[in-house]
Amino acid sequence: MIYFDNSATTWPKPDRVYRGIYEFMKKYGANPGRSGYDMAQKSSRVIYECRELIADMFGISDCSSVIFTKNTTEALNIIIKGILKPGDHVITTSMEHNSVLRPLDKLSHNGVKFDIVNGDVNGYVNPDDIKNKINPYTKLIIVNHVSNVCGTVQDIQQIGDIAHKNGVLFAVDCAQSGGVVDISRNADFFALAGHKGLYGPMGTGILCINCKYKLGCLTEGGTGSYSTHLEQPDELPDKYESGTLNAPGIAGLCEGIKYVRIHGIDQIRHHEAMLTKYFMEGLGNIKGITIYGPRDIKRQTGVVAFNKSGYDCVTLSQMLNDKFKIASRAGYHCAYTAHRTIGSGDGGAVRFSFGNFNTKDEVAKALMAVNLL
Amino acid sequence: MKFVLIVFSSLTTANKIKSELEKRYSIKSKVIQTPKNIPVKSCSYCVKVLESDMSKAWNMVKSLDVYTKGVFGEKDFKKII
Repeated sequence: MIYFDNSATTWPKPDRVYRGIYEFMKKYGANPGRSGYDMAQKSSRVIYECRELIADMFGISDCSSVIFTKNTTEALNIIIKGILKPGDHVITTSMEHNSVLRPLDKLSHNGVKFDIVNGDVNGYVNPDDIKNKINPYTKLIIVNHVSNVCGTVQDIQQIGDIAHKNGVLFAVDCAQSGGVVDISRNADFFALAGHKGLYGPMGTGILCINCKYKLGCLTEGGTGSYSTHLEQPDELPDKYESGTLNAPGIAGLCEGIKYVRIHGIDQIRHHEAMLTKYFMEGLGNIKGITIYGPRDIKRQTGVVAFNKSGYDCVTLSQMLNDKFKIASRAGYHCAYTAHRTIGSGDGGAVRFSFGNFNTKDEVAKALMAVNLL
Repeated sequence: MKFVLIVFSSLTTANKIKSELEKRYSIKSKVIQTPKNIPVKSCSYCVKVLESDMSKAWNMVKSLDVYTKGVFGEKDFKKII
């Protein structure tokens, strides 16, 4: 089987991730943060080590501001619902995933107003278009860093500068960029997936808080601290981490981050860029292929959306699986407005997304398969 | 050997202090649950260090600007700082 669905979740994981999870569960799988015995403390040290690694990788000065969530969606919901109140205005883009647009839609029924700034046909959003939408009620600008549909990398440095010059909070959805491209340090909040470019297991997400703003929290409950107080503690990370953490998952994530550090984000990106360029060039030689998005490896990650004339994308993806054992993802990828932006709104597209374990030989086989169909 | 307990509300903060003590001064410490005899009411965690390391540890806690409930004796549970 050839796996090209790394934007959904990277696979395989590095061996050290499997080992990390197994060892955690086998040797010290106690509940971290609930007791003082040695095994519980050892467990809590793994969680702490992972916090420190994340803080170091993403430039967060205090690792208490690294919050573990179950996925990027939960982190984004905490940001969006923890900031916006009736009467507030928020700006976002047409390249967002539903993990941003659906919470905003829900809040819009309760007095929050939002503007969606359109990207161009390659998915790029003009930062000036965002600037032009700012009004006195604008509280938040929230943008997708890297498109899960076509890999477009937004200029979040410039958008962040615009936000801060106008006294607006800036949040970035880094689900597809964490561990894949360098993340600008000027975001107030960013949401990450542990199981994609950081090579951890599914069920791990991260919220990084990079400012003093006090977000509201979505979930109250036991934190192992302040137990005599009925109100939720204000201290980080406890405020946002009620209930038992996915400690085995975080142990695996810890090892995934170590893997990324050893290989280096630049090196991983270089490898994925080589595969992406090779794939796009190959697709360009196949009759009836339409590639969507940037087609510029310097401005995109290892994600390629395409269609082949005569096939609907789901059928094409299924045939790649059935005849050639190639795993891809077809449809709208939970980002319909992004598809509409790049021209694949009528039916979606097949998406190939590459990871550090993919090889040029696998890409060559995929090109042959697409050509034969 | 005499030990003191530096008490924190958050386990993450306690772990941070443990890590920083080791990184900065090679001071070994241990994170434990705060004994109920220490008058801090709620569930919390503390970093257990040798009394001889107390002033270094306390200065570091202050420099990191983290919330602490103070330093207590391990045996008599009396507040020292």
